[in-house]
Amino acid sequence: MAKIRKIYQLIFLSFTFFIFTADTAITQAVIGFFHSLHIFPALNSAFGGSGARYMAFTLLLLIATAIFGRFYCSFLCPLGFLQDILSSAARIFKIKPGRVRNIQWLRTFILFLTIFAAIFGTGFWGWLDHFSIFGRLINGFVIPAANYALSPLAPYLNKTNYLQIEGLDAHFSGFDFYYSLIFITALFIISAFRPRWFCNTLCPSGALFALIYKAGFLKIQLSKNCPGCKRCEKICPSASITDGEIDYATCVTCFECVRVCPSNILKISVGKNKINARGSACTQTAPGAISEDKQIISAGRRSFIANIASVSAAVFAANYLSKPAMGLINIKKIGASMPPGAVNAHNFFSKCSACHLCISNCPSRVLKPALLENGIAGISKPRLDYDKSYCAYECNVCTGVCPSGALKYLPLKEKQITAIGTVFLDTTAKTHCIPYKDKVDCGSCAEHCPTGAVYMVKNGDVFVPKIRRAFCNGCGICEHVCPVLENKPIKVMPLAKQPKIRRLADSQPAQTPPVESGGSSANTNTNTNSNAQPADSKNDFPF
Amino acid sequence: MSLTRREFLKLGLSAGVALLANPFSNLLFAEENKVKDPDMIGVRNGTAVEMFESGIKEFGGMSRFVKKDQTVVVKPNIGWAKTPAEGANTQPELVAKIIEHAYKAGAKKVYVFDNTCNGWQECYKTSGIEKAAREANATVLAANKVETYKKREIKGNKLKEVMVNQLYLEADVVINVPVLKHHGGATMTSALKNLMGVVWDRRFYHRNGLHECIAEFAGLRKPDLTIIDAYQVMTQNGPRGLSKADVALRRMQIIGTDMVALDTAAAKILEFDPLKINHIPMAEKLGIGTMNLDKLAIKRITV
Repeated sequence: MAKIRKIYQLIFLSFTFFIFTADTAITQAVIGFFHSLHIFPALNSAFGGSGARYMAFTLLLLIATAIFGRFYCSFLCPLGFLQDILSSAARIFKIKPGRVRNIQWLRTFILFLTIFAAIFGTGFWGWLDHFSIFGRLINGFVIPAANYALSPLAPYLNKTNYLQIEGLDAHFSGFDFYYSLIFITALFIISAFRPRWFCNTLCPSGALFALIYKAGFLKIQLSKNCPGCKRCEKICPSASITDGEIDYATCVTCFECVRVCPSNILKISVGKNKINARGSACTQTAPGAISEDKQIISAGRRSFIANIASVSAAVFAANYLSKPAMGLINIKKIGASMPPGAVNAHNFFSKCSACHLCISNCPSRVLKPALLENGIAGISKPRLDYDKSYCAYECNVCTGVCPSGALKYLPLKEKQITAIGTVFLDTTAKTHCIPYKDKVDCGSCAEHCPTGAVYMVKNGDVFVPKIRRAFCNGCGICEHVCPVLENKPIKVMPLAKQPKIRRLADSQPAQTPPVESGGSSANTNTNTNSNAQPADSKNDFPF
Repeated sequence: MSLTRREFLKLGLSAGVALLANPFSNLLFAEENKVKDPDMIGVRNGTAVEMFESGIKEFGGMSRFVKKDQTVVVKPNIGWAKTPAEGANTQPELVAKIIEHAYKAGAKKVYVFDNTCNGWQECYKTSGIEKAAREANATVLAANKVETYKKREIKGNKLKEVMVNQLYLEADVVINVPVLKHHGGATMTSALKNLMGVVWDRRFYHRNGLHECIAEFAGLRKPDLTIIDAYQVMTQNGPRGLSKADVALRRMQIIGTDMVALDTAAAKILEFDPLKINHIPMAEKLGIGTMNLDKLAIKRITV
């Protein structure tokens, strides 16, 4: 079982990496299924209204958890696997596992905090949700680190089309890198002593699964014939076994105990463990305590109620204060463009958990985690960086990968007319628009503009850019390609609400190419006289 | 490999038979009847592939340019993530046909690439060129990495130093396959402008005088053969185009070696004045080619 678990973990971790790096190669159904497995983004998206399609999988996951236990944590969770890997690495360095206690009240507190934060829409739950944390680890740390580590190979690899090293620049964003580095170091230190401490102390998803599993069905049980070798106790990554008793509130059903039991007396069976069966989710079993059912239960109940009360109070207070503090009331202006599908700033900043799926999937690499461009509510959430790249007209990838409903899916045609920003052209002396100032042709902006919002008109000897803002969707390609190094004359300003624009082609349907009506005979159908051997008839050619 | 006498005779005999049986062999033997090789071929009224087939035949066949075991670069315009029908890129069938001819002429390896304006993967895929070229056995490479470029000095007025795609410099044969389009910045994009796709920093061009840089770069290495795809041309809103109304069917192709002459002819297809497309006269001044089409032997074919 432990082996099967490792295989599953490996598969799922690879799958997660794939989802994070595959760009456009995956279908909506696969992404939807993947999203449905991560409980908090999935629930948030369901309540948000856009992600209800795959909720059946989420419900199935919860039912399965009630029956089989926290198999998500042990078999699927990428962050859980990362901890397992880190702890194995620690074993290589000969660090002996020790007992780091699970702080279960903290876990419950965080669970409630997460739920309330999600319900009331303050968006900071992303800092607690394990999946979002893992996403930031991948995008903020793993991908840049891998790019950096492989960069000596770039001269060789980049001559092929397959594995391309984009260089640190394409992915590195200071804050998320250092945040992830600190997080991963902390995780390493803790995992060295107790692999699943995070899962039972900080992870809200783990807390939720534990609550469900408490009334669970299939459980690992100990026979009375246990000679008490304590091997299971030592191996247990979540410190759930104490003197031969299993605390199901912290057990992640990893089967490590079953694997190491020398007398094969640990069994998975139906029913509830007689000892500590209703072990509370909020108190911890003191090490060495001999089971006295009633005492524990009543103690658990009391503290549970106390917990609920204090947590609720704290959460309400936190929410009440955090919304204005995060600047989530009435956002009229934002500092950097939001990805398409965000609808408006309030929807986006309250729902985005900063899992970085959109960022790491963005094919043109225009999405970058924000620092303070969009205020406190926007920290680490995606923004468009027109310096680095632009939003590709033929792409709607980000709108399809959001697990938490912060980005609404937009079919390509709709995405193309959704404005995420709007263009401004400054041809005064403050900037340096090449054709206006140097009187030479340039036209980079208009050349790249996919909507016709920027176009060229003849001004004296040169063509100069002009703007039709009604057609601008804010893709930022004009700003990106503008060859001016400092003080670009053309800039795209973000929009806090994403309106629909007009399509130039729709509004000018009668546009006919001027040359076609000009009647060059070459364009008329000459099939009829081609039999007449016009082998070298100069008249048919314009040259 | 050593040949015995018998083998040698067999080989010679079969080669002779093949030569005689070859439907094009009359071209070989009719050499002395020709007054002069054409400098430029204009073809019209067919599909891009048909026009190329008959055009290159008139021009002496691909074997005139590609010899055995040579490496060939085919440089189409793959600048935009747009479909072939939208006319922003070279026709994929034409690219495939050129590759096929190059291999028939004995090419060892054919490379296809372009430094794209949109993301290279999207451009290569949507344009249909990657697929068509792969199916024709060409090696399609990305050109978005600075590692694949080499620094070259140019004694130009504006362009002093330029990062050029290594393959473009090192290949034995370069075949330039632009698509003819209107261009917001350079007025027209064709043979000369298409070479911006082998340069790393295009923004430098825009900053320092687009036309001059285009003209000055052309002298670094002239493509051995240029085929202008004017099957459908973008007459306005180029080079990207906004809708299908920007594209007109012209069903033409120009084949030649003189990029300046080719672009002069191409400008006329778009009904532009070639003298007003600054990089063409500039290139003529630099001795890249001639704008005087009357001096040239132009063979005009209607398919």
